[in-house]
Amino acid sequence: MKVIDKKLLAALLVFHGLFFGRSAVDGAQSLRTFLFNSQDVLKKGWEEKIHTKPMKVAIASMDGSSAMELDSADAASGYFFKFEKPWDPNQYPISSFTWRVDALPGKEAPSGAIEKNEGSVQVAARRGGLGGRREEEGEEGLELSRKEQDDYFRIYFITDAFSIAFAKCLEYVWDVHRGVMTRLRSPWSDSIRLLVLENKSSFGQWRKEERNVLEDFKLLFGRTTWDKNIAAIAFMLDTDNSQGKAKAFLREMKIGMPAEAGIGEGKPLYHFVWQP
Amino acid sequence: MPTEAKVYRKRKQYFIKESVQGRYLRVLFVAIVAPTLLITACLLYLMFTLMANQMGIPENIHANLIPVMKQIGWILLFGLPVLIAALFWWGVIVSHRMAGPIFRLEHDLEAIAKGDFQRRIIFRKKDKLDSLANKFNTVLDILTAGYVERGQQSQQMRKVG
Repeated sequence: MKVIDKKLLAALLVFHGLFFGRSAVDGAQSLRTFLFNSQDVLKKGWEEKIHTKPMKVAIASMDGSSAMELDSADAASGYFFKFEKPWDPNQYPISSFTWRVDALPGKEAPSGAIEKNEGSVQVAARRGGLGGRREEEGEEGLELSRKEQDDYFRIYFITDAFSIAFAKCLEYVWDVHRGVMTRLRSPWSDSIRLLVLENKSSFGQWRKEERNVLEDFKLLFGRTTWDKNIAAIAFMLDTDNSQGKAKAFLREMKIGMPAEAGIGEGKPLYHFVWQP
Repeated sequence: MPTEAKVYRKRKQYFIKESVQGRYLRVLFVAIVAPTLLITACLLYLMFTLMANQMGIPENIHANLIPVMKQIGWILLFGLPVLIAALFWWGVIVSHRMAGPIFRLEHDLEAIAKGDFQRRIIFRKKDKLDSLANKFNTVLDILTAGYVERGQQSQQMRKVG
């Protein structure tokens, strides 16, 4: 009876995963979950931060559910959420978010084609995760983003520090030309590192990213261990440097889940098309 | 009769009476420099915490706040030593205005005690202790006049006798 139950449970899980496009993260408890299906969510602890001009924020109904629509035209602004208590990514390494970009300012293609970087992801996956690649490449794999092209849809994880000015910041970005998993150093500061998760090949598609934030911090900052807590998260859509237009959507963020919830140590890369 | 008043015009020594001037100088220096450093530290703290938190987005902070903070840092790096040196020199002058009259008073009283009854106490105008000097000189005038009078009386008595 017990054997049958287990088989039945496994079959149900497979069926659920295949047909509903869900992973273990979906059922996991997170420190904070944000559903961006109404403007009210931004009134609960989120602060608007305007860099140059504010972007337009609206709630859009699409694919049978609601999401937050962000429109930016020669603007740069974002929303910032500070946790009441900084949390340890060693304890809660997994976070996920669902986003979509329909347009970003066209950029001149940087050196390094998409195909080349896509290839490196496959190599990393074959090695059982990006941890191995970090050992080999260290800081060398970082590409410097240019100030005049520093426009992305960004999701930030910011560490706890005496001041945010001294915090380490990991940004997951949706770029245009750069390949998935391209690692970038911010042109503004060495303490800001960017990881390209999507590019124009995914424009117009909902993408759900499940990230091992701990491993990504280690990867981006070239460390083997990470002892800084995470104090804040943020998202920003900016078009001020290229003075273009951008449209993006944000549906859900699940921040701070234990390693068992998802992908575990050494396998930080998971991104797939979200099924509404 | 008192001799012609001696006028002290220019300081030749800026450190006299170390026990008095040194104490004044230390108090002045601490009273000025400590608040200056404290206020500077508070302003830097305010900018690094409150303003950085208000800006929130890291790129915004590093593109706008940090360059300003770096400029302030350079100004402080070169400005503070100059300011502190200027404050120190000002402290030396102010403390000298306190220690100088005390030194002069001690010196002149010593000479008077040794019999120089014609000596009078003169301070520099900026020392601002003229009233004290005037009172001392009045007392000295009275004492000297009484001394001279008693001397003349004793001479007359000797002649009569």
